[in-house]
Amino acid sequence: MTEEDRKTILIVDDEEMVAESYELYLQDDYETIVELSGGAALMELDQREVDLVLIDRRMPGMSGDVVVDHIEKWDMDFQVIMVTAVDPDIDIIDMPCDGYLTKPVSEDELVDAVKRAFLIDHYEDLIAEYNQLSEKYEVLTSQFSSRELANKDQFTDLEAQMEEMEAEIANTADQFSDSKLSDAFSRLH
Amino acid sequence: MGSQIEAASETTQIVIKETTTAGVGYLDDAETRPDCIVTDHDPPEWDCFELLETVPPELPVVLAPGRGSSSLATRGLRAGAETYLDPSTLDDGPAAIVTEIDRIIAERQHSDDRIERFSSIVSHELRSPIQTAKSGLDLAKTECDSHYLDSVAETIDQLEELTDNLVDELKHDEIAVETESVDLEAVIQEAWPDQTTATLSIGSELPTIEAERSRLRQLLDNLFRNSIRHGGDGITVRIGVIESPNSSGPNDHIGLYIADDGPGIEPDRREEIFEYGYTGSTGGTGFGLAIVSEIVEAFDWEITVTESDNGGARFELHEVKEF
Repeated sequence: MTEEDRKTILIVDDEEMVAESYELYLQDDYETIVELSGGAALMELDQREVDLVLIDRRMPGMSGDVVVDHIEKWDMDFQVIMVTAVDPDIDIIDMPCDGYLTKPVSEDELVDAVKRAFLIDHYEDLIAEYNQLSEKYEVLTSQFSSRELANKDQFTDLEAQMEEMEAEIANTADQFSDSKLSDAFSRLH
Repeated sequence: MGSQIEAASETTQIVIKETTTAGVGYLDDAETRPDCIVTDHDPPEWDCFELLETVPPELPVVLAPGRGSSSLATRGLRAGAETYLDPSTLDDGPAAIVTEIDRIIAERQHSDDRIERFSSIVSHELRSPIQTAKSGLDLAKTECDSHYLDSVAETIDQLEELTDNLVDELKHDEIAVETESVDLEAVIQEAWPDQTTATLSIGSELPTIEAERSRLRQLLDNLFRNSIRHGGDGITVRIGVIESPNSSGPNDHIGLYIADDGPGIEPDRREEIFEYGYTGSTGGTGFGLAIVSEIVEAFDWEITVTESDNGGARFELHEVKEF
């Protein structure tokens, strides 16, 4: 992975030592930015492109809940993982976050959650791209006979591309360490 | 009276059973436990004392006899009834009973809410500093190398486990267990405290048993700490399979003993040591053996305490299922 390909993670926790430890766990594979308050995190998000936010829920001043509400309102497109000592309640269903970790978290748990969030992101991109191709395929197969299409190189390319993507989608789903999630994704396509 | 109460109640679902026997049977079989019980007393069909003996203490019982008396009220309340109401002395007996039912349900809901709030606070206030300690430890490891850091890490892990169990117990009436095949010797080794000069002696050929690993570890950990706390670091703790287990039990059930050569436990204290808050030493929390007792109950095991060959304490676990 080149320096340009490295994903950027914003770590937000009012406990400096905690935020620094997350940075330690992640800095080998990702670019990391640390902020110690919700307000500072929002300012950072306004100025920089990030791929994922790891955020504590309960912080003095602006809480993590308020920050993720802003992220949703501003329509920002990145993954959000809550890392918090607050026990999850039913309200997390409506919370605009992609993952929820209960403190204390180990290095492995944190790294796995981040990998998983990026994998889900990648999977969603693949599905969106595949759906576009699939719609074109549907339109063409209803418009032309299979004999007519067989002679068109572009259609053959489209079929090959779709086949390739199907394999990649299946391969991505297999990479989820959680077998339940893997099975669920496999059933989807 | 049952149908009159049902008619008077607007919000509560009432289940009516015609006899004490049917009521007890319902409590045994019902998937959802009622919020409270209302009972008459007119033996033999209606024997409130038989019912009061059967229902768990946390389930409130309203004693509302057709023919009441002051002696029945006294006996009923002593036997564990929450309230005594004599419908014949009231203008509208069924309405008064419904009011009492509503009060009990509201009080229980209030109590459940308080426990929920308390467990949430406990959970957050304990887990946050554990995270800070864990984080600080990992950062410290990048700057220096010391075996003390590993010991601190182990202690933090234990604290984390204890917090999980504590929160679990606050949230649920009973300890929830999911049993699996567990290598007993491996868990014993894990549970034995590192920072002690006490001696652990493990009997040969310990079996694989059916248990929940983390709970079993907590059980053993508590028993070991209890022995060391009372017997000091020079103590020897022996653990093994009881050679002649209870012959009445199924073949795949065994007994285990955990015995030490410490000061032992006086016969008249052997029951109360399992109660919450009981402690026989200044450093004790009064939680250790009470938690042991709850885990034993959750596993469907039995625990007894006697004197070991050396005059120390000997805990015996029975009905332990081999895997």
